[in-house]
Amino acid sequence: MDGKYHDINSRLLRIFFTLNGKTLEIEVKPWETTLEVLREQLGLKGTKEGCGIGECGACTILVDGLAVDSCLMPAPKLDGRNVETVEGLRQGEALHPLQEAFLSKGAVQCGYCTPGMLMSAKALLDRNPNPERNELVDALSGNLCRCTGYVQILEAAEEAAETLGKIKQPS
Amino acid sequence: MRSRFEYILPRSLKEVLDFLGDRGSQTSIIAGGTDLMIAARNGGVASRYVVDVSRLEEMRVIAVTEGALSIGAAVTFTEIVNSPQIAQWAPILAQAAGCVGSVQIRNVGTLGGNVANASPAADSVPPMLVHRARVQIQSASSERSEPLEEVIIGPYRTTLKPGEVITRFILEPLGHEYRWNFQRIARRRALSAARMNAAVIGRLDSRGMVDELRLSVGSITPEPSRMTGAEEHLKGKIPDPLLIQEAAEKVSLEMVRRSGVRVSTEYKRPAVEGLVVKALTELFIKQSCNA
Repeated sequence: MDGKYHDINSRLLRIFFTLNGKTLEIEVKPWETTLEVLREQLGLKGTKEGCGIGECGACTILVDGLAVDSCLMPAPKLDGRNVETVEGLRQGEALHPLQEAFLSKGAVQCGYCTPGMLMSAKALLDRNPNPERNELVDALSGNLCRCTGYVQILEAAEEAAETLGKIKQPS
Repeated sequence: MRSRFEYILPRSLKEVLDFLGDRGSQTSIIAGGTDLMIAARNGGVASRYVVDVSRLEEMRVIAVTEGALSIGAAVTFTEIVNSPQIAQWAPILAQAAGCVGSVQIRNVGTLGGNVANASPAADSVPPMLVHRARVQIQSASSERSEPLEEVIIGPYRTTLKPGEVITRFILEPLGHEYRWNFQRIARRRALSAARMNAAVIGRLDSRGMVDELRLSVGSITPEPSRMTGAEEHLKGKIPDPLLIQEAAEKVSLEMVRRSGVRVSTEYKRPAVEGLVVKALTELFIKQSCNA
């Protein structure tokens, strides 16, 4: 950081961050949210706006591995960070085990909460590959779903944890 | 329409203070942004500048020194939950921090923001009051240290002046000889602001009599404080269900005295009594899992 933030007459801020594994340098309006920048400027429409006030988790992304509400995160905060969105989950044509499990367990109905659910689940599994059910519930408690009743979502996350465990430790 | 502002991301506390010295009257401080960005959404941020303190190392330290637990204002709730020092010296604060908002909110929301925003439902405030927290406040030209109850003077109102920033909190560390209990009533366990919350710490002497008791109940009075009437009622006595019920009634009387009779009082009076009874009973009679 070379003092660029001190040019208070400049309307646009130049920020530098990693998005789904690629480094990126963009200009953002200082008052914009991360959600707006992802969707409108970068065209990544996977991340959804639900409530817009941090109460539903539909806009959840990972910043330095932590789940955050992108609707409440000013875009300038991304500078220097490692950002993951739902678009970064799949590897090439292959879905992430979480995505596979959400499909196979029927954890998706209208689908609006799904990207946020996937990212919250990923934040947990990256840190804790073998979570207990209550740890999963806690990790997903900041994400509201109005369709599924949550049971299938928890089952899907558990299935994904199992799959990921097998991938990491082939025996 | 969304508020528009310049965004300043300084690299040191000195830069923040210099900036505040020049333009403090036109500046809001942002840490996690979980309150400020909600306000900004509907044009509620009038400041020309927003200064981000979330990365300042000076404000991110948790340290225990000579009878003081110091917690930087930019420490997040997640960091509080995971801190070994806080688990040892202020476990009630860790428990309360784990109740704030949601995982996503706790990952960015800070202790300093919780106090500066001064919501009556702030979950960190009652635990800090029972730890006799002091607030360290700096500006370009001065530094002051105030008891927390003198900084929050009403719902969303503090004595913070333009150009001032909370840098850290100083808590009295309380070791294992203290029992503690935190209670919270909300519509839903996650993602919902506390209707009311209560923090209590206490200690029994060798005869089983209360020799130390500090109780604070959030969301029931205009400004947060300890419930000294209820504390005194139990001190020097062996706690029993009747004494605890009487102490709880003192709290609800104090609530009505300070907040007046409102539409919500019919609900809040029995609710706060139940909350205090539960907190004190778990503290002294039924040893709960966190004791």
